Amino acid sequence: MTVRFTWRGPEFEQQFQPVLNGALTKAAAAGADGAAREIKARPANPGQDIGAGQGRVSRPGESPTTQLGILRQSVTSTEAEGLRAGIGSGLKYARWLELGTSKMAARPWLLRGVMKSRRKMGRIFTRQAVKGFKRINLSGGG
Amino acid sequence: MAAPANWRLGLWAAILARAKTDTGTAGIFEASGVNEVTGFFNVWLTTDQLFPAVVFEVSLASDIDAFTAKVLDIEIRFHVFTKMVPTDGDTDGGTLLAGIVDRINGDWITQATRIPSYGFDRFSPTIAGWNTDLMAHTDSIENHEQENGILHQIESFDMVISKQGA
Repeated sequence: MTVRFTWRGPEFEQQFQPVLNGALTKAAAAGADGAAREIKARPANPGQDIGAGQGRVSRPGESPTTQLGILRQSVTSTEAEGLRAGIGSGLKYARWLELGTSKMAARPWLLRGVMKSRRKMGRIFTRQAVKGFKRINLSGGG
Repeated sequence: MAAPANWRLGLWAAILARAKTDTGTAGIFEASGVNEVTGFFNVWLTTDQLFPAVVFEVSLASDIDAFTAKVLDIEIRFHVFTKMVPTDGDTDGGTLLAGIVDRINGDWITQATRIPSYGFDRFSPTIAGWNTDLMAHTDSIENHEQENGILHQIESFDMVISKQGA
């Protein structure tokens, strides 16, 4: 008996690449959600109403707290391309909070939020990738 | 006496003690040396701090517990600050920044034993009550502050620790 194998690597890659990019895009969105959740609402100071600009501000090293919620709303992710997706914010002070400056201690939110979401991101990525993998149809395959 | 469960205090103390031993030639605590820092702080700088200065912090601690042991994956960041244009006749800011960053990273690669004689890459801090791994350098981030005239570089290290007897 003769068994004949036909290697369709490039064709497989062509079909699987968008699947992985799609899965990564969804995983990145979950990571962005986790990062946004890391920016907490300000707890009220005793005897004070909570509102814009009020409440207890974050301490050095803690995750930042919201003032107007602008940072939290700005957290976003990019669509994956070439198996790379981004999570972050376009605001200048988002970087200052994450990394700190000479005048202000860091209040990391991005890496912490993403790290806390990494299991969820992994689950989403795997589920989406498996689903897409099953739909791959190579020419002449069977 | 029972070992303290608070790894953070032990780690802070170990890092500070390690930094203060860097008193050799070009060390960050060499008196009047080329890379001497004016301050080495935990978490944030004091107001009106003179530069160059270093701040270190635990930026992330993730639980990666084993079935029967408490295990943490810790990220430690060192922030190195120098003035872009020194006003006191010191080395220029960029050279000084690079010199201090080199001291923070250490000399493990030049050591036959791969144990650094100074710096933190491959350094193993002692923390009472905890088993500690080597600190491993993970990345460098340039975060310069043009508007303040400050050069700011961040060196990140990763380390795994586990609770003894847990």
